[in-house]
Amino acid sequence: MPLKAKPAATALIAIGILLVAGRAFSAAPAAGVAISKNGVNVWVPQKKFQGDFAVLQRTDWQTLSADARPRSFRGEPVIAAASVLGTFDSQKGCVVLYTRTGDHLEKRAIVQPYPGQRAVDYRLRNDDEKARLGIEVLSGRNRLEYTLYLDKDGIIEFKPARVQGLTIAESGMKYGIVPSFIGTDFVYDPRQYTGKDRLYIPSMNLYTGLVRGGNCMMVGVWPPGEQVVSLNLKEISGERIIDGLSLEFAKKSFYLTLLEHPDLWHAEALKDTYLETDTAIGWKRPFPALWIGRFFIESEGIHFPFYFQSEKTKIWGRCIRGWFGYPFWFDGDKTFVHFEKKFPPKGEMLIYFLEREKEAGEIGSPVEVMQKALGAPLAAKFLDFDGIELRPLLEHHNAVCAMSDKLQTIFDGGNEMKEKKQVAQYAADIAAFIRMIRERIFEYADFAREMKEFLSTRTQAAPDLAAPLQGIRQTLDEMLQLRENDMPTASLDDVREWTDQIKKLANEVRPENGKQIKVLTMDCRKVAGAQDDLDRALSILTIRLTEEAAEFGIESPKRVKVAEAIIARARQVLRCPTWWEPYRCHSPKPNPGAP
Amino acid sequence: MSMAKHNTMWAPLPILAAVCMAAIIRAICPSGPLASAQDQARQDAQGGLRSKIATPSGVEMVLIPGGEFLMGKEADIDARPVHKVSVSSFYMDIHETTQELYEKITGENPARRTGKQNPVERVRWTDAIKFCNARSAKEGLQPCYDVKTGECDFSADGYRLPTEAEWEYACRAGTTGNYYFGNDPARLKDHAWFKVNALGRHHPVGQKRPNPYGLFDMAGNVREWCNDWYQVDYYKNSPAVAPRGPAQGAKKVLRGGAWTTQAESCSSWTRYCDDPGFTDACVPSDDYGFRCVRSPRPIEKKP
Repeated sequence: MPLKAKPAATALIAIGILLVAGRAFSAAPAAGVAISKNGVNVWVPQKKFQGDFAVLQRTDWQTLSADARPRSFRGEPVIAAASVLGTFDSQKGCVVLYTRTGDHLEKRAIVQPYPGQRAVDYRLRNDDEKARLGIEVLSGRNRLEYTLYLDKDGIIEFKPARVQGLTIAESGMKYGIVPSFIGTDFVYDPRQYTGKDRLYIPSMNLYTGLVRGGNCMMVGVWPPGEQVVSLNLKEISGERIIDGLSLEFAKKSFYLTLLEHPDLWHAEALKDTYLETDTAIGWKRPFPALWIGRFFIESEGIHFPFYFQSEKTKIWGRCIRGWFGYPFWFDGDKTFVHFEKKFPPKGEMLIYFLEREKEAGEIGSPVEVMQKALGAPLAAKFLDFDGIELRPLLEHHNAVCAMSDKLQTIFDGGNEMKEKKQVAQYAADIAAFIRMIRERIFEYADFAREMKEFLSTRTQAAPDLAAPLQGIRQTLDEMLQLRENDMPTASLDDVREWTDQIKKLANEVRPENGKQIKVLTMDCRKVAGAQDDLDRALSILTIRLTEEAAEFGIESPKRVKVAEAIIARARQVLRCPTWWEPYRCHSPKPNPGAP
Repeated sequence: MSMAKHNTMWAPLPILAAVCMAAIIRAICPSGPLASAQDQARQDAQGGLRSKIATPSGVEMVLIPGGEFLMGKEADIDARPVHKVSVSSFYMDIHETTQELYEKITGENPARRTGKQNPVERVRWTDAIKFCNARSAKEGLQPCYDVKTGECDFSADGYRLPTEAEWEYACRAGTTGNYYFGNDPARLKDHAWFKVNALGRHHPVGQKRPNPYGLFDMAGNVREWCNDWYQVDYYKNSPAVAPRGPAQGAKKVLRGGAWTTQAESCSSWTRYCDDPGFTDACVPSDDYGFRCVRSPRPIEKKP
């Protein structure tokens, strides 16, 4: 509790406090007013707050309990939780935000609602329902411009009244992230946009900004709606940064918080010396969380986030072809990265977190901020934890190759009659597995066709979009061409016939069975392998499509709305992936095909 | 052009072919490392080795005359330092192993995209060495491999995978650029099937221009397994004479570009690697193939 109110002292000093009309204060020259509730403090200092937290800790403040009555203040209030502090600027009608670590304050951003109005009056709101305090900002003629609420966790709600939007400035973000959970996160690096001062980003209800220095993350959340969101770029001392974010409220609230902790995120320049080597990098995770390492996979043409694992592991076919060593893991307090010829170390990797592990930590996560801000049910619609879940594997939890191997072992041992039931089950699983993956391929092909129709409709209505959408169309064509060229010629009926023959082979032990089972399972494996590759390729192209859409959207509000529609559809088809597709896997099983 | 067509074309003209090859080599690289290769070729010819042979399996092999060359490239961490290496003479298949040949030898065709004259793919390193042994056995040669351990007996006269040094030496064919035809990637389309021109699949072998030794598809079509274990810094300590790779490792070397790779991965010096698949149940990549080499023998039947 930052404010150490002493009832006896404050009672004496209260003489200097003027209470106006039973609900408004005008602070006396010698002291200020302090209100504390639910871990949120409001001060009304005598002088404009200059970022010195010690001033707020004076003991000679009038402390008042927050009750249901709105209270008006003349003077610029300061509102603070344990981690975040905001101070109002009457002249500009804006709020200056600080992160707070004990008594230390770090200025992190200025939030300027627009159109900007000089604040004439401030009114305290006590929101018991959500255990938070709020400040209403009023301009001339007692017009409510907006309300800023703050809860004990440092989550700020800007609830618009007359204002239409806000601009966050002076936040010094090096990277902007639009998390997606399904598919890939969209990361904006201002160095890649040297000629631009504004990037429109998909309004996907959550934004995370990585602030210079690596110790701070800005988290913005907003409910579904028609908001238009953009990043404002600047060059400061030769460095390209994201100065801030602009958002049109669309009559809905915007939530904001700042997470502060040493080593909260990290950018690692990937050196060629990392190739085919397990390398301990300099960054150490500051606390347990689901840490993400994201980099560009050159062979696939996509950026993808991999969750750090708790140990070194090897994995098959997830995002990258064939076997590969998992790229990121922790070993004690060391952070290891591993790059291979299949995914060489080039460019930069970003390390950040969006979720904590199950145990509560000392700092909230962007996901928790979203859940608290929007409420868990609404947040779940975006986070879509069901969509992250893999499609269930079959009874034996093995893919076709492993089941083929098991069948071969049974037949090689002459045990086919003895294990007839097992043979029948494996054969049925092979057929079912192949059918499941084929259906998945059809889903992607349907998506590509429907998306092409959608784009045709959009470009008919807005012909100027046709040329810039050409790249996305090409990706869709590539998907359809792949499906056409790479789908195995064997039909599902063929597969069923092969698996029926496998079952029949178990009716009698014969010397030639071993050879026949090899041929039959090889036929199945060839179909399954080709389908798995195709499924993986279509999934990667869909993810690439979302990155292309996000890039297409940066130019204008009109384009970003089309991008949002493309991404939303793509996220739908990417839901519930199969084992071969890249997905946000916390603890990946190395290989479902492993015996 | 199919392999059958090649046979028809070359079979009656072995001498002319050898002369043409030598002329091509002279035209492309009149001096430098190739000069010693030419000298060695002459010596080998004097020793009774033919420049080109056709094996009993009907596969054309070309003599790669022993010599010295500069291996590697400073630009890539696993290809530096550039170092001098000498290799002995060996015969190398002029084409990547075709699906037809693979099936003829093993009775199987694991390829995802079928075509008799297309390179076999989806072969693990372990599949490739089994093929080598089977091909050797079929021709009465001494198999090189212990298929359980993967150990290669280099003294055996059977078929084996090239060492990484042999592969690069054969690919460079005396040249020193990024590609055997120079440094201009724009010319790659005439020499290789790679991502830009392959249209999402491999193609029948021998359709593009060969390298100065008459080897086709060295820069593209499918990647080719080599015998060596991969080690990222192997070149730092590689022996100068007939290097055979590290004694052990986790991955085997693959060389050459493929229908899946960009131009920069099709260079003569680019190294790649993957799991050899000793205990793997999974289907290997559909851009991995191979070609065989064998030690020269003094007596060969004329093709």
